[in-house]
Amino acid sequence: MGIKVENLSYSYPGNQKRKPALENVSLEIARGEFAVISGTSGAGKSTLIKHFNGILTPESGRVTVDGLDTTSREVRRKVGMLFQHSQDQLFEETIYKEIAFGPSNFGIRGEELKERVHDALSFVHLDTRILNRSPFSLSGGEKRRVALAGIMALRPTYLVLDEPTAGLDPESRTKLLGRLQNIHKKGVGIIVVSHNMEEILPFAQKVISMEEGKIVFTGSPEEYLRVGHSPVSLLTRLIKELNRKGANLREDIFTAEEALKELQKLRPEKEREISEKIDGTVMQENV
Amino acid sequence: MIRIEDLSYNFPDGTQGLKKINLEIERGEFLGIVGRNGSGKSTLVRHLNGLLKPMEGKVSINGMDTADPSNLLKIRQTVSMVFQNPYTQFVGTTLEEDVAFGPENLALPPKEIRERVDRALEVVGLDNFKNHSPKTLSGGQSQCAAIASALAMKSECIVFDEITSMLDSKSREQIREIIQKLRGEARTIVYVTHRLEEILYADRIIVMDRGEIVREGKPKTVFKDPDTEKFGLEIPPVVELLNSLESRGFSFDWTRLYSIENLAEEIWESRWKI
Repeated sequence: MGIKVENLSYSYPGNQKRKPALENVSLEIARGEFAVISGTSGAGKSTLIKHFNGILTPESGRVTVDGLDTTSREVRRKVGMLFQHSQDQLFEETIYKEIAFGPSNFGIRGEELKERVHDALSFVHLDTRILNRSPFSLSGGEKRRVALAGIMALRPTYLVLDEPTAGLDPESRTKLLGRLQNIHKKGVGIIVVSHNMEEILPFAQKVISMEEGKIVFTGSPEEYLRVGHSPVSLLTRLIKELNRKGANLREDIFTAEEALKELQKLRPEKEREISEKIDGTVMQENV
Repeated sequence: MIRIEDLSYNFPDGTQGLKKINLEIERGEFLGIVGRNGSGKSTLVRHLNGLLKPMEGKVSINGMDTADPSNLLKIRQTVSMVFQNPYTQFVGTTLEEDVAFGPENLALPPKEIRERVDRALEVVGLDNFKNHSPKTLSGGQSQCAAIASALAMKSECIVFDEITSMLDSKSREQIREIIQKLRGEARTIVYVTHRLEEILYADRIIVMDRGEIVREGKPKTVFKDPDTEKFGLEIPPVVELLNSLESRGFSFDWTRLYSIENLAEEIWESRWKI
């Protein structure tokens, strides 16, 4: 079970002479896992996730979802995908039709369809009164929520999101991340492509880091921070920089409070006091 | 250099975009503009080179009124804009052609254009890419390319409108360094962002909410204001840390905080105070 990618390579048509977009990529994401795919722009993140529900098919190698080949129609229902700029994805006359579009394509009708639309809508905290309005009358942020509702109405097993927080202000970002956490609690696997690692890392169970079409790291968020493969938060950068100067501080730190506590180790007298208490020896000041 | 008097603006659907804004920006100043989505930041800066015209009030650039169409060409040479999505801004088939587009339109001598393009690409670190197609650049590189185009215009003022929202933290750091270089050249910089950590080293910050300027001051003061979060802004952990260190007797030179190395250095040198 889960999403399994084996030796996947892919080049965009007409671009075969240049470096492939994906080169021999293998990975596994378990059912119900919260995974983050990181890497700089152009690393192949978006190309990779488009293979998860058959939008792209492997040039060589294999991708399966819960054992099914991604060319199978069932995979499209299992793997919901929210693209970058999802506010531009909308096309229906009314918000109801927009959200109902996915499930009705899979033959869901009548009461069940209605229930799914209402559930999905309340999930993104939009009022049912808007259902008969045109999606184009909404603000950018609301459009994104409708796009997310449209995908949730499919009741996917996996939800894949490409840079979902780009361009959102902190308030909307926090709300979206909260929603993702709730979806995850229901047992849905979440896969987020992001280069804002600082905000998403605290939620993640697995980090996959890409560079130039290859996977360069797979592991837990703690390991990720330790090896420092990819861009990390300013706080982590600061601590790394201090460590380069001779400090010996933990690098897996997310909050100012933790950081301050850790920085107190820098104070020479403090250091001595603490170590005296622990083992009775006196550490040399490293000034 | 920029003077805004009682500026108001409404969107075509009637919602109010800006309410009686008054603001002066000095030559060589680095001004940060922050605020939640829809607070009026982009609407405000689009008035700075005449993309939008005031519905009420007046905007003048070096004394030129933006409402007077005969000033527009000169105003656009004085104020350049770099936007969030650089892909929509490319016109040339190679990067250097693209950067040369603006100066060519100024009808400068070819030698001068050559020098400006080379210099601009060097500042943003793309000199090795000048023969590449702009379409093959990564997100971060495209954003640097858009900055190079603005630099080649040698405009006195450059407006950056949320240029880092699609960038990773490495590229964001690079952009901070570029901006610091621009400050060295005494250009006026107006920088719109959601991320407070990008404007730690600004001369002044304004906070916008519902089309109005609700706070104004040095970054140090604004970031300590407990109301900042009320306006939809988030104090990043690194700024919280700076605040608590300052309350313990640290005194940072905020103008140096464009690089994390400088911050680490300041902390390291005064670590006995922690």
